[in-house]
Amino acid sequence: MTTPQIVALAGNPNVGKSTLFNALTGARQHVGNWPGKTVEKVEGLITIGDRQYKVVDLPGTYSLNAYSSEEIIARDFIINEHPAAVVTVVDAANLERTLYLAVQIMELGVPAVLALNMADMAQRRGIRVNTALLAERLGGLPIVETIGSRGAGLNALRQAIYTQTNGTGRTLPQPVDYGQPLEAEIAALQAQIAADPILSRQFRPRWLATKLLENDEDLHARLEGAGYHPLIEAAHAAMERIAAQTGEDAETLITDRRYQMIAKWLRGAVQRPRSGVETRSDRADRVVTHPIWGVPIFLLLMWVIFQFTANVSAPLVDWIDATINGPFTRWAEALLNALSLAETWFGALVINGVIAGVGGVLVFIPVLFFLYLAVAVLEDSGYMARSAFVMDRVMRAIGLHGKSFLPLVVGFGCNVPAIYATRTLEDEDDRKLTAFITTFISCGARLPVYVVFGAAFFGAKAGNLIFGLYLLGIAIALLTGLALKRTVYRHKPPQPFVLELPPYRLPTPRNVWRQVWQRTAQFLRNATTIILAASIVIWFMLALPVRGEGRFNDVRTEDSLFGAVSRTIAPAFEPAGFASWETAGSLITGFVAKEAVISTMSQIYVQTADDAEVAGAEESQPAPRFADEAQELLRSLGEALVLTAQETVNIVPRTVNLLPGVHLGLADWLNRGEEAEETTALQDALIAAFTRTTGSAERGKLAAVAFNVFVLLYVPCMATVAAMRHEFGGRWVLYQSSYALLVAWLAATIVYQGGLLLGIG
Amino acid sequence: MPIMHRSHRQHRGKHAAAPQPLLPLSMVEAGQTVELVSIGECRRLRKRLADLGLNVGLNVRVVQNSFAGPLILAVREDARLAIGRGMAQRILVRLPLSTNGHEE
Ligand SMILES: Nc1nc2c(ncn2[C@@H]2O[C@H](COP(=O)(O)OP(=O)(O)O)[C@@H](O)[C@H]2O)c(=O)[nH]1
Ligand SMILES: [Mg+2]
Repeated sequence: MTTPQIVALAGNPNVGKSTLFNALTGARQHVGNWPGKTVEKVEGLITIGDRQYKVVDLPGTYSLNAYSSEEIIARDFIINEHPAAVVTVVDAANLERTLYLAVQIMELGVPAVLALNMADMAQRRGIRVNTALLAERLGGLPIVETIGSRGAGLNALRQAIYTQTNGTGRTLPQPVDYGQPLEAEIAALQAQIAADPILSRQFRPRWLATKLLENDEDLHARLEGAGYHPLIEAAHAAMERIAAQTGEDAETLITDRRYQMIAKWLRGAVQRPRSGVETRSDRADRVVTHPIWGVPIFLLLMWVIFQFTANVSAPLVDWIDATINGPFTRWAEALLNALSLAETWFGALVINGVIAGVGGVLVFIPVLFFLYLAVAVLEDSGYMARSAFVMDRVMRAIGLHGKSFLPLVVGFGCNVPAIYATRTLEDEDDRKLTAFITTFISCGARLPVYVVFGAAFFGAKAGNLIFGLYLLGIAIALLTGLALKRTVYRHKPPQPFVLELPPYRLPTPRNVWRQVWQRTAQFLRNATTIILAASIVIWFMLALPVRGEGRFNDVRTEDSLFGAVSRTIAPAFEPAGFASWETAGSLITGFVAKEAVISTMSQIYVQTADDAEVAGAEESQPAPRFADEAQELLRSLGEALVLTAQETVNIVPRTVNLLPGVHLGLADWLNRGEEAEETTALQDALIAAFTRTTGSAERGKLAAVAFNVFVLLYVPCMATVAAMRHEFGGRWVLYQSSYALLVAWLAATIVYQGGLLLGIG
Repeated sequence: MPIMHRSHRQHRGKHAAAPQPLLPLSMVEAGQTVELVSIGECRRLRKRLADLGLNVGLNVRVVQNSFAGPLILAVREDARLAIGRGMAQRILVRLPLSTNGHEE
């Protein structure tokens, strides 16, 4: 078979492009990012008759004017990739507006197909479209009615794509006559463009001429940069002549003319009942976007999403963790044993580096699954657009977009899904700004650190420390946002708030599932490498002896490269009061995962786990049989699923309990009760260690607070770094991480030195 | 279907003499249909709004206006657009001669 031809799906946001795309391509899809952009790119392969096609789901755009990165992507794709056909998807119930993009794509002169999607919605509202008449008026453009969500009209759509790409399709006439004086000016510019071999090969001359008169900033800049100064001059002169003659901007005239043509085509071809009635969505919006009720409804939804990513996902996270550390590790050990590798450094690398690293990636699956589930439901139902509407005023006051709220809320559970949640923001700068500050939001993995330190140093008043740290995180996030708005993003013109509110719809499970699955898989593909690499590096650092008696893979932590590095960086924390190699070391492993701060400290300070681990496989209990273990695995999975359901149910009492004075019990179907953690030995060791380094108990307490402040703010864990690199690129991550480190160090130092100045200790 | 366009050139010269006074869109109550007369000075903004279906000469119905925060407009039949209050203050509109909310 020959190389597949390219078919692009274009259309406004929310007209059902992705639904149609999914219906067309089924499971044969590939999700990635557009080169250099943070916009998702989805492609799929289909076969129609004897031909193969690569279908591309273009980002949603309202026009081919280049405003956002989405619009530039869509336009450049159509111009540069020369798709064999462009399927423009329009909303059959909303033709007058959605045809605006279709007209512009027809003007490009590419083979086109028009899909009137949402045919069911149109019918329900009593809108009848005479497609034959409309097709005739559009110069023979193939028009197909589709219902993406039910897969109706797909055969006709395939047929239309096939005919348009096998060479028998008709070249469409120019759709819009702009009238005088525009046509004369277009003709003049067009001649100038046609005379240039390079330009005329890349663009359809008439389209480019029209675009230049339309004052398209992106094209003006690009042509200017490529040395087409005279052409740009000519375009400006033409625009001036038009303005002088008509008293109007050329661009306004062009826009108006397109809408006039659309109205003319639709006259008689579309029958619809009188409009002006309040739709069901309007009625819902009277509550959902109400100036007073809108905010609590929004907050409630955010709270529920947070519950999903934090509590409902927890049993599955624990199950994956236990499976990797338990049976899976034992199987790997058995395998290594069989190969006589168990005692070698290679065996240790596999067990403690690779498998632990893979486990570190896999535990994010349930978290991301629930985030993407919530996001897909919110997006497909139409609520996401409303959330920006409702929160716009509040968020704008602090320099953020209304949609920035969701990532920040999700960040309290875990920063990784928070980074991905910024995808709901359309503007790239808004996304970057939001992602930049989310890492200061204290995630669930930092909490165990505060809890242990709080209990050790503040006893019953531990809650104050924890609450204070959360507040500090929020404050730093907001201040950073404001500062960035004033500096890095200062030159950006304030984005006008215009937003389409799509009608509310019931999300289709198939659509939701597909998004969830694609995005989660994409995380796995992209994050695994970096997380694995970091785990292996840390393992090597722990295994390499740099002093003392130790040999490779058999060395005390203190004498390892890890210990040496920790000792080297420890003095940097002198001003903050915690300059011991143990604390520095725990901060290094804390980069792998923040909760590792505590496990490393207990390993170094308490050294209980240490000896048990070195003992090796033979001395532990006899290895369970494979079959038993597999059975146990299934049993624990069943249990985890029960707990997942239980936590879903528990969202209700947890939510009701937010009301002051109410306290509903939580469901506890497996009679687990609250888990109590054994930390006393570690707590005593911590107090002793911090007192030792600072010289007094009071100062030790101060240093402990400073240390927690540092843990809150410094570089997020490597999974977050992997997510950020995936979304925004390596350089951006470097800026973000450096900034976070600096802020963390400054804040910790201010706490410690400030405390000393105030006479504490 | 109702034809919602007229060349807006005619408005330019006329609105001084028009009987209906101009008012900012932000002042229009929910349920009323008004005609857009001018959309601020910023060309970028004008183009952006036109892309979304909102251009001068068009009749729009205000679906929601709570006198704080953004407004919701019904644009070209079934589309709903939310626009910020700041922008709505700069968009000038006129109540049509027949104020029953429909143009025929
Ligand atoms: N009633 C109806 N809903 C549809 C149809 N096509 C898509 N949808 C729904 O419209 C919403 C937006 O669809 P989506 O494919 O995400 O739009 P996109 O933004 O253009 O990719 C989803 O909730 C779909 O389930 C259709 O033909 N009829
Ligand atoms: Mg889509």
